[in-house]
Amino acid sequence: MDEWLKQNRSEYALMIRVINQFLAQSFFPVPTAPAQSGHYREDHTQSILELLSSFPESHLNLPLKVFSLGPVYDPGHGRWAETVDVEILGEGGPQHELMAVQLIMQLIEQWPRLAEKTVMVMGHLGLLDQAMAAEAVLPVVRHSVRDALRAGNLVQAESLLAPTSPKTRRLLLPKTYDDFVRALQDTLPEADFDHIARLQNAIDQHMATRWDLSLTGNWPYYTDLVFSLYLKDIGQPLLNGGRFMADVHGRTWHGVGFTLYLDSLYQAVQQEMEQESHDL
Amino acid sequence: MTFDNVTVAVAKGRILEGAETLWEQQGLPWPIDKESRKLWFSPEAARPGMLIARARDIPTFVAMGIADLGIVGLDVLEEHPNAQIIQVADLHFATCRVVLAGKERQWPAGPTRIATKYQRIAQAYFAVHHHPVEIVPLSGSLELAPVIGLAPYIVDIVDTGSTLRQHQLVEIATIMESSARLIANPSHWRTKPALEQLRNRLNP
Repeated sequence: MDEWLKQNRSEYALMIRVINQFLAQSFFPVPTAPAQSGHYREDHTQSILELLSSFPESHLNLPLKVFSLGPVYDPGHGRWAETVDVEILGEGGPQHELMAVQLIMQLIEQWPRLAEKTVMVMGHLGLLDQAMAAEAVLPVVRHSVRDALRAGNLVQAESLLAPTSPKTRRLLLPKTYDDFVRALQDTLPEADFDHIARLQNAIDQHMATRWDLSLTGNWPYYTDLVFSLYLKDIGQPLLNGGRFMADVHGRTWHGVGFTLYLDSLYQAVQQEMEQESHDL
Repeated sequence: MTFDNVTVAVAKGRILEGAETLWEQQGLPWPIDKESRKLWFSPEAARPGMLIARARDIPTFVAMGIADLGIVGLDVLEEHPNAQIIQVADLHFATCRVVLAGKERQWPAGPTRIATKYQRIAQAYFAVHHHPVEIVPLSGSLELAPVIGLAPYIVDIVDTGSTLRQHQLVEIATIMESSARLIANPSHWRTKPALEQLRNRLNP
């Protein structure tokens, strides 16, 4: 029992450390309820936006940096996962994508050995759509490809693209940055490569990256950059996020956000935390 | 590229037999000794490790990251969907169909009973056709249901159709076609290049 209690204590210490980091970066906490309309909360973003939408538009001072914490229900595993959900609300443009990525890197830096255990995988729904359009894929097929990828069905997405779009199809497999840029230049020479390079540089100095346009994020509100930070050899994400647009009660919200899974983070930094407390 | 950091979970039965043939065709050493009752074979440089389990457990092993890849029928993936895996290849073996069958080649007239182990697939199919049905869940020997009067129709998987014929049953409609699918843990798929290499060998 002592071990169990100690572990709980460490997990809460980790949560406090993460929260303090966001508070120090001028993020505001937004308390959200664990159930919405009779359903368990699976995502904080909708709840955050519903709460903020209850304020008159004139009260909003954008960009707004907020976070919410608490468990979300994971129906796949039938369990609750302790999370922190972070949102940068405003125009949700490339600057905010970069800001979110830099924020994640600052968080990872808290644990010097964490970066070497992680890989950041980047996808981009906007680029995927542009690549398909450049190969004259019909809008209805583009929609089906996005749906298939969101459902985790790469077989169907590749099959839809097979006859006419070999270049886009190549972008649906994970690649190093250099290979990705080469493949993208071949498909979409007019893409904003400067922005892609800025994102890559922000991450590359800390950890390995892979680019994969089959990564579309878990939620239908994502529109452009999506990302997952994976723990090597563990098979679970440390965080997932992306740029989104969401209509809530007649108000359109743009932003970039991510969900940090505290259980996975604890698993990754447990040894470092134990060493830190031992050194103290 | 070596496979000493790759594990594949394979469903018992036809899928496992088909996987053995595929492994041999692609020059991959097959890890399973026929005399052995072992269910777990660790990876080596020349071939991935292997884990053998019941079909419906394969997506769980992959989603949890215990196995990097899995081989399981599409029928199982449709019946037991798992949002934490991705389908990365159609391996084109263990092909079969999920069908509606009964004593006569005739669509049910009015509300009816359907005996099946594919409750989700059957419910979705009849919902699309706006046809009221009562699903009788069974885990096996479905062909008995019309014979003993439990349900006039069944939704079951067929390969050649000989089992249906033996029980004087006929196919009424094909609900879906199935084959062995290679599935992957999303994290491992995107961070271990060896998985794509293995997919390309298994699905040239």
